Amino acid sequence: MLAGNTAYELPGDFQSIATVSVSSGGAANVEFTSIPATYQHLQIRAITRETNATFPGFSYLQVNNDTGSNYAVHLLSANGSSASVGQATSQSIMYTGPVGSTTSNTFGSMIIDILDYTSTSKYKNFRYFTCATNNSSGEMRYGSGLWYSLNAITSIKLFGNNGNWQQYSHFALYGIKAV
Amino acid sequence: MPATYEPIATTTVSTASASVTMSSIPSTYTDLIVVAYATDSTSEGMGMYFNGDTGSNYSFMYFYDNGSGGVATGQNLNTTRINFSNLSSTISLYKAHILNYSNTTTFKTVFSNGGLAPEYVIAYSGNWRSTAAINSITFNVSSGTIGVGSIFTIYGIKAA
Repeated sequence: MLAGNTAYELPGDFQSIATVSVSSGGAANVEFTSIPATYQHLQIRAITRETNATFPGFSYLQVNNDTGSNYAVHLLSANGSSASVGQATSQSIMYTGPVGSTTSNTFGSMIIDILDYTSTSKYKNFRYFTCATNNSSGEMRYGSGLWYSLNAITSIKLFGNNGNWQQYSHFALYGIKAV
Repeated sequence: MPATYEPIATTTVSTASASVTMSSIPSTYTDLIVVAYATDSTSEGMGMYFNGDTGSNYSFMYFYDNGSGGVATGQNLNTTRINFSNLSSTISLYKAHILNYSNTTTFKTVFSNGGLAPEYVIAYSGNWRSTAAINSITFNVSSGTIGVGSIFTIYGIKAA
């Protein structure tokens, strides 16, 4: 903070856990493993671009390598011309919305909050905001997700919906401490 | 454990003005978060542009709801700023995320959300078509002024 200034809000205990930068070869997925159980919540912050043939691309995730039909989402989506809502239950993946794709240098943004991820007494709630905008089109989504499991989350794998993550996609995982 | 999320600078508006610039933003973080707690004398909303670039190098879209009629959406292409709030003369709060702001290989993406209960809630996403690292942010209104007492705070988030 610059001398003489005071902050509007205190950030709290927000700590970096791991970061993945996709290299020139691309990546079929990005996975955070061995996530420590020492935080209250998690947050993923990313810029995203996949090898989809149209803009935008899309994304999804899986937790603890669970490929069963144990995910649900509920979302609000808009593309500048129309807005819509949707939901999906008993899915084998959790959809997380738009990412960058065909437009050069243009990446999507992704922030995902994962609440009480170590709880063994309740299903896990996710909240996400994803968007990808170029100079002619795009999409933005607010969504909530649910993983029907009482297991603590120890790994999260993120996928492009139609292809690989492209170079310079950048994913950072943070932990948020409680008192 | 080193600090990961920390305040960089805060500006409080002491004289109503059309714009506020926060400069010399260090490049040592991964993301920036802007918290604006502000008013606009004309209720036209506020935008942001980067590094003094007022060219038509920005695009943004948004959706909002005002409590009646359902969710609406819109977009502005090839414009001179990214809107990130729909301020009014009543003080309201907005938070904007600028991801990977200091990299020099990608265009920059921004998204924000906020609202003014009970009038509306709104979210924006936008991009700046530049690979330059962001080192200053200017907040401006199309006409009118940003009100006295408005507060802008920039935080940095540092990845491992």
